[in-house]
Amino acid sequence: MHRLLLGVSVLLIAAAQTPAQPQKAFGWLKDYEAGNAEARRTGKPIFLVFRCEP
Amino acid sequence: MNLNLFEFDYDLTWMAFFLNADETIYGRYGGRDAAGPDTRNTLAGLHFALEQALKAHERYQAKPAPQKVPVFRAEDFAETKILQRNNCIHCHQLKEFRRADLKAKGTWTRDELWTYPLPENVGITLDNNQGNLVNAVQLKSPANTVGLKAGDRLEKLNGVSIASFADAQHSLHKAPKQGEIPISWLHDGKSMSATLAVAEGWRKTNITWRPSLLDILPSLPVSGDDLTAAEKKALGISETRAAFRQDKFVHSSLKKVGLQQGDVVVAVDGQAVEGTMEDLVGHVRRNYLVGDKVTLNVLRGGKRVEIAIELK
Repeated sequence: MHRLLLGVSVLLIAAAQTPAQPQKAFGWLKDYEAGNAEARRTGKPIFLVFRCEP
Repeated sequence: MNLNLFEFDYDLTWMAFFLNADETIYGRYGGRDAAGPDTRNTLAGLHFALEQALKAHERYQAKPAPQKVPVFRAEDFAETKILQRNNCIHCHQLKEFRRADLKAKGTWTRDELWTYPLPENVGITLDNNQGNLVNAVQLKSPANTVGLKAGDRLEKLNGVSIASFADAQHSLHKAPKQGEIPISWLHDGKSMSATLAVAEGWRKTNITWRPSLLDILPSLPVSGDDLTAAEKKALGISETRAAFRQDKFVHSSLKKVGLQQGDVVVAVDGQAVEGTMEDLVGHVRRNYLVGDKVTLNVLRGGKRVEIAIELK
């Protein structure tokens, strides 16, 4: 099993005019599948970042 | 990760995608050129691209069953089979694996070198802070021919919506090596469209920064001083042209084929290069590959001498 030496970060993004949501901690997810599931649940788009780890 | 879906320039160290949960991609952000890793990226540019992605998301109407992109993972490259189990794969190695696969099949050509062309290759300079804004259009370029102007807003290039340099690079990466590229834009609020006519060779850029190519880009191990303006004049050489005198440290590989201390190198394969010795060495690195045979054009004691070398 090889591992792609590639960091993946997922953030759900929302327009500024979206009504205020209940305060909750937000941040980057490291698991694309988990981020995608969260995007499906919330209807928000995904901001996916690939970065090559040295 | 599915490389067929998240296809990008794997020589990069950072790339962003904006997408729907059904994996419809709204846009991209990232990319670079040979001048440096951050010459095309700004926070304002990222903000602009994000805003465009959010607008696309608001407009988006889900299709009943979005077409799934076939899965291709890094581990699916044949070359990974020779790596030790649990070895990590660096991003740029994906390009090396692809090259090895194509070479094994006998289908690799030099055209494969010219990935992710710059928008400048079709004559367009985009604004770093607003990635669909045309800052400049080169004279006599394909974009100039169809009437694109500075201040116009790109809408689509080769079918891809443009909100960033990365979008433009992705669209051009998918364009043919010669032929036509559809383009649409806004000029003073009016929608315009045309096709860019691109000729063989339009995809070429400076690829010397790409880590995936380090093993196939050649070095020319010369050393010495550039001729002075007076020395060039005496030899009838243009003052702006690269011409240098090989010093006493003649590399063994070049000594073997006949280069001598004091030889004045003036061209490669009969082609003069503007600038300095470094520009001439850079010209070789940008235009040839390891294993290529080239001729160094040399002046020795007032006579022209040709020295054949195989690049390493």
